[in-house]
Amino acid sequence: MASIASSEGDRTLDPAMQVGGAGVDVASSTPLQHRFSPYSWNGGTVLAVAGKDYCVVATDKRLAEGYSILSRKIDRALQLTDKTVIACGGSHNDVEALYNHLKLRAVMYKYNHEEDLSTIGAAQLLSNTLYYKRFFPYYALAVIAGLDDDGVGYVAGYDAVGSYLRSRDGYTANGSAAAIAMPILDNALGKVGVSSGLDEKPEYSIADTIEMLKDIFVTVGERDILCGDAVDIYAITATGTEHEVFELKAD
Amino acid sequence: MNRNQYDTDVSTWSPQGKLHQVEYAMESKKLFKVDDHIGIGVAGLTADARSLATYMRTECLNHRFQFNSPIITGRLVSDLADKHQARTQASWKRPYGVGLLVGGFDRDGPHLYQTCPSGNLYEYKAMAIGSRAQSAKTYMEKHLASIESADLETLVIHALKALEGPANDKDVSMENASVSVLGKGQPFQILEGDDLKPFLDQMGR
Amino acid sequence: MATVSQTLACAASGADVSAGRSAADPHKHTTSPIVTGTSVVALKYKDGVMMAADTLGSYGSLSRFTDLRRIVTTGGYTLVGADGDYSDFQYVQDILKELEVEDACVADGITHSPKEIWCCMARILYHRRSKMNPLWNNLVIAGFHEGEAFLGTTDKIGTSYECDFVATGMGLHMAMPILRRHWKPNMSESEARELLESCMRTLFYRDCRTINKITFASATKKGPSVDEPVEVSTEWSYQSFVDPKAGSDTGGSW
Repeated sequence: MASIASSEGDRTLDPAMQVGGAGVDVASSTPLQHRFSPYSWNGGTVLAVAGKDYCVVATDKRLAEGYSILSRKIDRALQLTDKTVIACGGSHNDVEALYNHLKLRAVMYKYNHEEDLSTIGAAQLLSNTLYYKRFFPYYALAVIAGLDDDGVGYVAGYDAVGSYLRSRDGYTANGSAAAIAMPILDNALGKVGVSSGLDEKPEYSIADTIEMLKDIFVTVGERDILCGDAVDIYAITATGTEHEVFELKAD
Repeated sequence: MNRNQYDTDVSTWSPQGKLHQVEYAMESKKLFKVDDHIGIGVAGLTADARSLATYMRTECLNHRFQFNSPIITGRLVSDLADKHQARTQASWKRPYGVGLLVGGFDRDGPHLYQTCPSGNLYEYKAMAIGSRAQSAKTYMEKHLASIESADLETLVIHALKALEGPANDKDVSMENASVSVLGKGQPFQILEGDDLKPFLDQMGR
Repeated sequence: MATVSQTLACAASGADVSAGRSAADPHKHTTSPIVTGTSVVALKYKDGVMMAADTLGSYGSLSRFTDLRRIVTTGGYTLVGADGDYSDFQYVQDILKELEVEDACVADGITHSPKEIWCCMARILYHRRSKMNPLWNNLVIAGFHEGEAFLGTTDKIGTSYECDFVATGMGLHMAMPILRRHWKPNMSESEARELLESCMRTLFYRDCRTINKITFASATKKGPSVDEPVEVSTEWSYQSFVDPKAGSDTGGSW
């Protein structure tokens, strides 16, 4: 006899969309046809480039689920302080929960220390916060971008459980279309360990960097169905952070 | 950390007729940010004030976490007053030795509350607390009409003048005064040191 | 997974529903919904927000309850609509009532704004999913507060976003394309109503878990209100309905 659950279409989960089972036992003697997943794969591509005295981070505004677009105008980036921005792809519910937590921590830090959390401090805090949930992770693929204590651009990429690395060449990509975008960035900016380009790469101005990121998003949006609609671009300098929205194809 | 045997409590008088704790409090920072829309000024035991400020800050953050919006000042101070009150009827506790002026800006406009160690809570248009509050109250009572309609700049000057008061012997200066402001489109901010210069200049101090 | 008959038997005896689990298990989490509601559709228009949902409570493929109200008002400004498990929605209503009572006790005349309720619901649903004990609903929260219309949604894992128009469940697949084509800012009340009716009609034609008894609700400067259910007009004389195979071999589809 058919089970009640099998009649509900929206719980048919594509195995590719299931991200771990979080170690909770819901087993029964008969195989489950549907299993509750606390995660969703909502897409989200993040690119970030650091310069000598600036940093640019860009992330798309599409909230997708399967073949559906839920929203074309969500915010994936969090302006944590005047000179630090975090952006994440992944499961948007976790991303929001993570941001709410970090916002709270940044405010408490300022009360206790009477100064803003530094970018390097925020990077470590983000790592600890992610690792704290090692066995039921925040499914958030994060990039942190900002200026370090010397005012130099800082970019680091994370995995979902908090492993992170400051990019030596000052660029990184994470989230849905990272695998498509990364070789483009390698070609344009890579020096260490990248054989595709010249040893000496040009120093791009902040305006050129923004234009390059726009171009990459345009091309990536053609290939990744989860990426599109619009891009939030944050340009961080010593004088503050400028934000712009760049429209992509809404198809 | 006491300087003499008469400064262990706010209500202990020295033989010279001084309330040492109150005077210590005068020397330390008396304005605290609670949230972008709430700030407090304190008179009494600064340590107690700091613990209450931490409580208020936590409540604000919890509210923002749950509702993504600023807490309603009136509800926060009501909880705060209840906290004061609870300390007045337990034999193993002492009352908070501090009075607070709480300024807040909500959807229905600005509010000013006073809390007392007793647990009493009042709302005012203008109020002063502390050992030499009377002269400030007298000043504000006299100028209430112009205070109510004042713009921010005028209000700051009124606050400084009230602080100075007719009975006080010392002028306000960049060294001995600080003013906090908050309101519509104006997150809590403390004006001190050089920030006060334009206002003091205008007052001819 | 329990069958319908097992579930009925267990519900009567109060025993654990899940086969292969002993009654000694401390508790069972909701791993599937029982009585379910289907799509909720809502949109912003000139005067505020309008929402619609049918009144069917499905028990698997059985049309079990035919007069369930899935849109409620809360506070002074807000509508909450839900699809998914109806008992979980009733629990959500208990929480909303608690919020109302808290506000009433403070008695300062302030009630939570639609945006606050939306945020609060998202936190609660996320919290429950984090305990692997979800509330099995998509919630649509709509309201009109301080001169502004609000429309937001959250699903059972706490994925939440604001929007100009929204449709949950089957509506996401069948009503959203209609809304995307025809919605525009500042629609009149009659235009908004017509668009919602068109969505509900399409869903009634094609979603098996619907009935043609639909509650419309709105939130404007006059506050939130939910109307008594009505029928939307239907037209069954289309050639493709009458003779699904006419002129093609599409198996009765278009």
